[in-house]
Amino acid sequence: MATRIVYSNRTAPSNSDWQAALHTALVAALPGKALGVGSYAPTGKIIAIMDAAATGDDDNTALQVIAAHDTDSRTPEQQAALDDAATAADASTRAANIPSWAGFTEAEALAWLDSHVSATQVNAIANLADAKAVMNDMATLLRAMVRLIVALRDDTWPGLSN
Amino acid sequence: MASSVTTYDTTWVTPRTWSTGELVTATLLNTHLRDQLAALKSPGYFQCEIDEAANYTTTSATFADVDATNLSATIVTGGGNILVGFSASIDASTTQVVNFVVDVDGTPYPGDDGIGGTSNDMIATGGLVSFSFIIRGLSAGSHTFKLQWKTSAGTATMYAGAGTTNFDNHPRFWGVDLV
Repeated sequence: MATRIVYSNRTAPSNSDWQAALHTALVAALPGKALGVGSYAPTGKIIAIMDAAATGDDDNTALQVIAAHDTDSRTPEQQAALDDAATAADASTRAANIPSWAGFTEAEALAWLDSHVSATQVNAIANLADAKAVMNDMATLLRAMVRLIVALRDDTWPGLSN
Repeated sequence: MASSVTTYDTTWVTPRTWSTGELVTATLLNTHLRDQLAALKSPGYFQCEIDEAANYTTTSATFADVDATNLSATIVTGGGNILVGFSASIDASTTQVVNFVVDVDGTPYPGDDGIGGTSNDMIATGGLVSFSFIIRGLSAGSHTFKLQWKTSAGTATMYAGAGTTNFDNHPRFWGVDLV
């Protein structure tokens, strides 16, 4: 298939991910005639790659699509990737904000367990108040574990929550 | 900064078939000995050197000119084989294959998906794509050589000397007549 280039007057954005959405829009507007988009280094302008059989009217349509396009728009796939990246980036911040547990060494974590929810505390339960105290400490521990597990999940599989 | 296309036409001519008893003149010797030796010493060639303020990109899955002005050259060849070559730093936006062909007067060399390819290692990091090969059996005369590319998915970027950190690279596209 022979091709030719249509040169627009629009400057290509400096970011590297504007092409995908414009490609989708242009190919949808001119199926079988518009083959893609790009940028022409000597001018820094956006170009359309056209089938050589495309007409002058097709070229004009391509230029109109390029001129009207919002170069900040992203394809659903790009947006999903951006959302996943944001989730993963936020995960470490959330983990760091878990009081105490975020920075515990293994020794410190075990020391907390030993002083709050170990067999020692359970066996010392003499009344309802004692039991409530131990269960409240268990709730604190579980809450910290839930927060850390969710942060780890988001760092490992950010798409699960998006 | 400015890209440049340097060309030099081949001056090789079809060698003369001499006849027994033929008078060998200075003119004939200069043409068929001196000038032919000079043509062998300095064969026709072209070299495109790129230095621009922006980079090239494409999303086309069909081969298209990278730059019909600066990655294109027309030279006179002596007929036969031409050695062509290319090198540049290429970036991939996703898992994709980026391919190249040398279009000679409208015919792509080689055929099918041409030459080249990229891997995941080039995603957002760039990598060297380089090739050279012989185009065989071109007729004597003027020929236009153009570099074309395509990508199987996403966006392909060819760094063109635009000052991108660590990728202020300058593509080269060249050819020499193997007279």
